[in-house]
Order: sequence, then structure tokens, then C-alpha cells
Amino acid sequence: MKISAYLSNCFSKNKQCIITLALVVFSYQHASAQAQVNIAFVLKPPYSSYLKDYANLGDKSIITVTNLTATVKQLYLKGSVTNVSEGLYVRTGANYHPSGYITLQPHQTQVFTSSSNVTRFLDANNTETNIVNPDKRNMLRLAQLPEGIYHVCIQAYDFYSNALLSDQNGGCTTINITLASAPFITNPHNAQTIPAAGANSIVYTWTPPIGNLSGGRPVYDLVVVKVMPGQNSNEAINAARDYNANNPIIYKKGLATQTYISQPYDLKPEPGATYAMQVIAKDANNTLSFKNDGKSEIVVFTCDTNKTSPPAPTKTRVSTPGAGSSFTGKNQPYLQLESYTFKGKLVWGYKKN
Amino acid sequence: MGLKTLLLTIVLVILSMSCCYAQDMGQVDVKHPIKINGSLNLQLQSYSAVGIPDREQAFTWMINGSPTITILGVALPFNFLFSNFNNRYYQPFNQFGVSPYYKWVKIHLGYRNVQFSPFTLAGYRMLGVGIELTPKGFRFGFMYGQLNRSTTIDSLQNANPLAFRTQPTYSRMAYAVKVGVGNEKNYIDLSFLKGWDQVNSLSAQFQDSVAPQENKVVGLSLQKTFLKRIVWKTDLGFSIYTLDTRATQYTDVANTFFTEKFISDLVKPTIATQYLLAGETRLGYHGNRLGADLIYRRVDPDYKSMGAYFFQTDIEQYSIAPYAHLDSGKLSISGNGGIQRDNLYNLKTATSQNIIASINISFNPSSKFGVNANYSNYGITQNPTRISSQSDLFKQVSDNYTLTPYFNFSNQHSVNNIVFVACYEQLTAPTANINSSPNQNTMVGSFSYSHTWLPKGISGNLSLNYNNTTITGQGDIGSYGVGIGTGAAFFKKKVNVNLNATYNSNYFNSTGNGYTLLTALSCTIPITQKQSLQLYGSYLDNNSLNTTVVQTFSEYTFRINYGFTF
Repeated sequence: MKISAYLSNCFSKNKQCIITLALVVFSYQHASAQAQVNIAFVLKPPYSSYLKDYANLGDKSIITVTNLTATVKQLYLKGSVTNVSEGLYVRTGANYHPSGYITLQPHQTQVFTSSSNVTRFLDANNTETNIVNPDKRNMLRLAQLPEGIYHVCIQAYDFYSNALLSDQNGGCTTINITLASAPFITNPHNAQTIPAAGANSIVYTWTPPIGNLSGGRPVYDLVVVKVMPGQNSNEAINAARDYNANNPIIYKKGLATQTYISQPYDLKPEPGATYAMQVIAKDANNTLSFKNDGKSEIVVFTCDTNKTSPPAPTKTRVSTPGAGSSFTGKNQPYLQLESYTFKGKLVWGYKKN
Repeated sequence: MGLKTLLLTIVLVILSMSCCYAQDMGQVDVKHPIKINGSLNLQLQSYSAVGIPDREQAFTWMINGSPTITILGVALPFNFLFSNFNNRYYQPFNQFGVSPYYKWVKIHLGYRNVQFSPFTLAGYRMLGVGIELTPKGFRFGFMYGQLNRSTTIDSLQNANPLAFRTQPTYSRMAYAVKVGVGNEKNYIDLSFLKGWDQVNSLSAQFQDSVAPQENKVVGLSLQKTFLKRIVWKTDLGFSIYTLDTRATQYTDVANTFFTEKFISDLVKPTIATQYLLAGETRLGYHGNRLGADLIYRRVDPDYKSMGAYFFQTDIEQYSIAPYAHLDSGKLSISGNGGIQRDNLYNLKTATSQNIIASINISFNPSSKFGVNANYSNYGITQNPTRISSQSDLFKQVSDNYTLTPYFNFSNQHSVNNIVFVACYEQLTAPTANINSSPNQNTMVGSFSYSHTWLPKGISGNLSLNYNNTTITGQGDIGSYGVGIGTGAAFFKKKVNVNLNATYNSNYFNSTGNGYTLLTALSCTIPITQKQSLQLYGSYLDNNSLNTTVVQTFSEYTFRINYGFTF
């Protein structure tokens, strides 16, 4: 039904209709009065768990503020970060009032994409929270937000009257914050010697990132690189992973599984050489952030020298996590050496001094 | 720049140590005032590929060495690594350094990986200077230098959209101090590290997106040996890590985390500051035949030190690592078992518990036969801590079995070796969530036989290999093939030449997917008693029917290695 037809029909029928219409018009006018400024807010993924990244939204966000009216607006911004499932929030304090303001000409739009004073409304000294100890203490001690689904909202307030100018429920974005760990390499073990006869088909396995992976799709990069004599294994991996240097023998990107078996067409490890391996978890949907940027601890292994020699004894992993990923105790099996028998008389002597 | 620095380093070291040798000339070998020993290696490699983008650089060279020069009793152990991998856009690949020492004085110069504690300065590469003093009963160490150099994107990279983009970084400096008493078996050390990013080292256009950081970390390390075989070792670390030094300081310190009250004078408390603890203690009995370590480790979420490379955090772990050498060493058994959990501060929506177990058995009853068996297990169970639709229960178990038997038969005329390798890897998820990997089963098997005719210096070998990975719901991938090779010694058995070829048939989803042929020729030539030359050339031909798995390509590699020990 056309609006004009509806109105004529309404006016001709009864008083109740007129009252209803009046209420609708009034509520529309009231809403219009509240939403004098529109805020569009986008946070750039992946979403950080660090408090500092919300205290100064700066370059991590795109805040678009539009004056919907025909008058000049001088305003400031407030915001909140709310954990949906826990009902916990950190928000700009009621007493917050910045020294400077944003001026919007009639129907003007301004976009804030970099750090400035107007994006610091969630700074530590401007906020209040309903989080109590021990959660508050832990959050501050670790400088991180707990995992969960969060609403991050921004509102605009008149600089002089402190009246809300934007929609109470507008200017919000929903994000998933995760504290997912980096993958952990389960094979080969650190300091393991791979039998030369099995070096053509080395089995590489790792765990998935452990944490809240909702909305994400983890995929993995696998880097295996030769460690030069005297070189630190972390440096060898860094050069290969970040800078395309050091000629990695395996650099597979975007693996969907937690296993990779080296195939005949992969580059071969050199007998006797030491190799470093790392797995990097990434989110194909680019929403999750993993600890250490998804980079696992490094595992170092050696390929046995002779293809037909007896296998070197494998060192057993004593402790899985930790610096260097694992370490071995004084539990190395005895070396297997060839034995020879000599017969005869052995004569020796010592110098007087 | 590198060569100048190296020369300057050598001069400085010699000058700085000249005062030391003057103290104890009685110990100096005046007949041989200068001694040099060590090794030097040079590698040249040429590579080319047809059908795929190059997997290696077309030409690479690398030279590394670890010479030790001893001048009048003062040892100057150098090491260096130079290659054409180095690039001005990233952290230096080329490294050189020297740690001269005389008695209880050791000096560090150049690129060094020094460790004071696993939680403070823990072997992170540092370009700088340092000293360690270990007179009787006293332990002192100091290091100062650069952990990372500043990297950025310059106009050359901006002009080329295909150029490799680096992550801009600040120049990161640090100093570390260690003070302790004791010796290698019994000691107590206190260490401290301060690291910081130099804000002005990065161009202003990148400073907004990269936060300068700062770290102060203190560590305590102690070890006590009882009754010669019982060792108790403990390491603790407390790290104050500021993720962004530009973050606003709290104005109301009283309302913030309690530790800030008493350290607020030392550390500027901000919302970007983390206060993190880490520790490990282990008690071990180390006998000749039997022994075990009991280990407890706890690391706060996100614990880090600028002096340490990344290690797993948010973890509490109990483990035991026993070992036994029986039957005069013919039977060796070692194992490892433990449990660990994460989510130490209940910040995650689910808590994971891991069970780790591994055992290695090495049985070598004679020189003719031996077997090595290994089993390892890694299980993860994740339980939700809060009611949340995003925290489904998740379980995953990874099992690995490896069996490696071998046979050796030899007499005056020949040597025969047979080696089997069998490996089975299983990854199962009894309770899976949407992000779990599907179940996987992997089988790897290989057999190698070699025969050497000793009088003639000729050898031959034959090998078979097989690998298969089956992923539930997705299919399988693998290969099987045969290898054959021969070797011969020429020129009074000094020059060894080996020729090997391997042919593998590949498959994907139970359908043939071409083949891979690899042929390699290698030659070892001893130039003198202390110098040798190795030549290696290979050709790989990969023919693929399903090019979504791997492309059809061929590649050539030629490598020369020169080694010199002196």
C-alpha cells in the first residue's frame, strides 16, 4: 500500500489511528534527535588480546564519524569493550572529558585511522570496569584480555553538554579474542638422529593451536632448513622463514593437516647435516591471532651419515616444552663402536719429569 | 664494513689480552709463541629448475670456520659464517665473533650466543662485547650489545611491487649482568637483563604501526650436587615486559596490580606492562647404569625475555625421565613421561591437559645385530572452563612407533650391512571440534642392503622404500620405489666415487601420479692429509599426472665442498 493511500485511509477512519501515527512520528523525531552523528567502526583483524591495542585504537581501527545534521557539531568519543559471555566490561569513565574535540561541519564525514588523542578514550586512566579481583589483577598483570566474544563500541558525545549524539547501540563491532597457543612439534623430537635409510621419508607432525579457534581456520607453514656450522638454529629458521634466505629444504605453505611426509620430489637432507624445523600456524580467515604469531618452538635434528650404517641411538625426550623445546639428561645409550682384537706385548714408559 | 670490524676486533683482542699473558709467563710455551688450529669450510652451489620456480638460489657460496689462534698461551677462538644469503633488508646472516680466554678471564666480541640463565639472557644472538670472570668461587658475567638491528622498507622495495617485504623493526639493545658464587657443580647465580628498542632507529612513518618495547628481567639459578650423583637444579625468572613504551602511565598506582606499588619506582607502570614469572626445578639421580630426573616447570602466559628465543608459555608440567644401561651397555632403555596443563590464570575458555610419554629401547647384543625401538605419545584433552558455544570438548592423540633393526656381517674380504626402518604414525581425534584435523595414518618403511668388496674397494647397494599417508575423508598420498648405487675407490683407494639412482612411483588418492627419478654422483678427493674436496652433482626428474599435488619439473644441483683442518 502506498503511504499516501494509507494516510488518507487512516484519517478517514478513526481517532486511534491518528494517535498511533502521532506516536510514530514523535518516536521518529526523538530517534533522529539522538542519532545526530553516525559512527561506523571497523577493527582490523587479526584481533589482539593485548589491552594496549584497545587503549589506543590508533592504526588498528577505522573510525568513520558523520554529522547527520545541518549544524556544526563539536564532539568527543567514548567507548567500551564488553565480554559478551561473561558480561564484563572496560569502558570510558563517566568523568572522562578530553581537552580537545572533533569538529564536524554540517553533513561532514571524518575518518580516523591513525593514532591521535581522539582515539585514546579507552586509555588506562580514562576507564572504569566491573571486573574484580582476582580476574582484574590477572588481566593487569598479564596486560591481556581473557578469551571470548567481545563487543567493542564507540559513541559520540557533545563536547559542551555531554549529551549522547550517536545511536546508543550503534558504532559497535563484534570480535573473537583468542589466546590460542602456537603449534607444538611432536615429531621429530629435538636432538633426534634420523636414520639415513629413513631420511627420504621424514614424518613431520605437530599439534594444532590450543585455544578458542571459533571463526578461524588454522593452516600451517612448515619450514625445514639446514643449520650451518656455528649457526644458531633460531637464526637459521628466521633467515629462511622471514627473508627467503638460507635455502630451506622444505617450505610448505598453507598445509591444512598436522602432518607432512617428505616426498621423493622434495629436496633431500644432506647426510650428517643438522636441520632446524618450525611450524607456523596461520588463520586462513585472518581473524585469529596466535601466540608468538603462530610460530612454534624450534626442533633440531640430525640426519645420520651413512645410509647402511647401524642407526644412531635416539635420545629420548625428557621434557617436552621449554627453552630449546626439550633436553636430554645423561641417558645416552652407549656408542656402538667396532671392536678389534690385538695380540702382543705392550711396552710403555714415563719421562722422569 | 664486516671485514674492517673483523680486523679491528682481532687487534683489540690481542691488545686487550696482552696484559693477561704478562701475569704468568711461566706457563707460556716460548718455543711456539703462536699456534693456530681449527677448521675452515667453503661451499659453492649451483642450482637450476625447469617447470617450477627455483626452490633454492641459483648460486650460493658459504664460508665458515672456527680457527683458534693461541698467542703466548692466550687462546682466541674465532668463528665466522659468511655467505651471499646476507641482505641489508634483514637481520644479518653473516656472523663473526671471538671469545678469547686466559685462565678464568674470557672476553666476548662480535656475534655471540651467551647464556646466563634460561629465563634472562638465554643464548640470544648479540652483537657486542662482554666479559666473564670465573676466579675460584666467584662467577661474574657482563654483556652489552645489539640484539636486533633496525630494518625497514626503503624506496627500492616500494618501487618494486614484487620485492620481498620485511617487517619494520627497531634497533634493539641490551645489557646483561650475572653475579654468582660456586663452581660448575654447585653454584648460585643472580642475573639481570635490560633490553630496549631505540625509538629513533626506525623511520617515523613506521613508528605508529610498530610499538617500541622494553624489558627488565631478573633471574636466579642454583645447582647443588649431593653425594656426587644427586643433582638439584633450579632456575627462576621474573620478567617485566613493556609491550609499548609509549603507553600512558597509570596515574592511580594504588588501584592497579599490587606488584606495581613496590616496583613503580623501577618500572613505569602502564597498561602495556606485563609482570611474568617462570621457573623450573629438577631433582635427578645420575648413576652409571640407572638414573632419573624429576622435573617441575611452570611458565606464565606470554612469558618472554628479550634475551631468549621463544619457548612454550602458559604451562605447568610434571615429568619424570628415567634411564637404564643394562647388560654391560648392550641394552639401553630411556623414557619420559609427564602431564601438563595450560590456562594457568583461567583466561582461556578451555583448559587443555596433555599427556606425554615416550620410550626408547636400544638392544645391541653383538656387533652383528642390533635393534632400536622408539614409541612416543602426545595426547591433548581440552575441557571448557565456562559455558560457551565456542569451547567444545576436544581430544587428540598422536602416537609414533619406530623400529630400526640392523645386521652387519663382515670378514677380511667383505662387509655386508642390512638396515630396516619401519615407522607408523597415528593421529586420532576421538572427540573433535570444527577445527580438528581429520584422523591420519602414516606408514614409512625402508630397506637398505650394501656390500663392500674390501680388497678392491668397490661397493654396491640396493634399497627399497615406501611411504603412505591416509587422511580420513580425504584420501591418501604416498610413493614406493627402488634405489641402486655403486661406489669405487681409485688412486690407491684415496679417491672415492659414488653413483646412486632412486626411482619412485608416486600416487594420490589411490591413483598413480607419475614418478620421481633422482640420480646423484659424488666424489671425495683428499688433496693433502688436512685438506679434502667433495664434488656432488644431482639430477631430479619429477613427472606428475595430477599437477594440483605437485608439478612436473626437473632440477639440477652441483655442489663443491672444500674442507681444511689445521
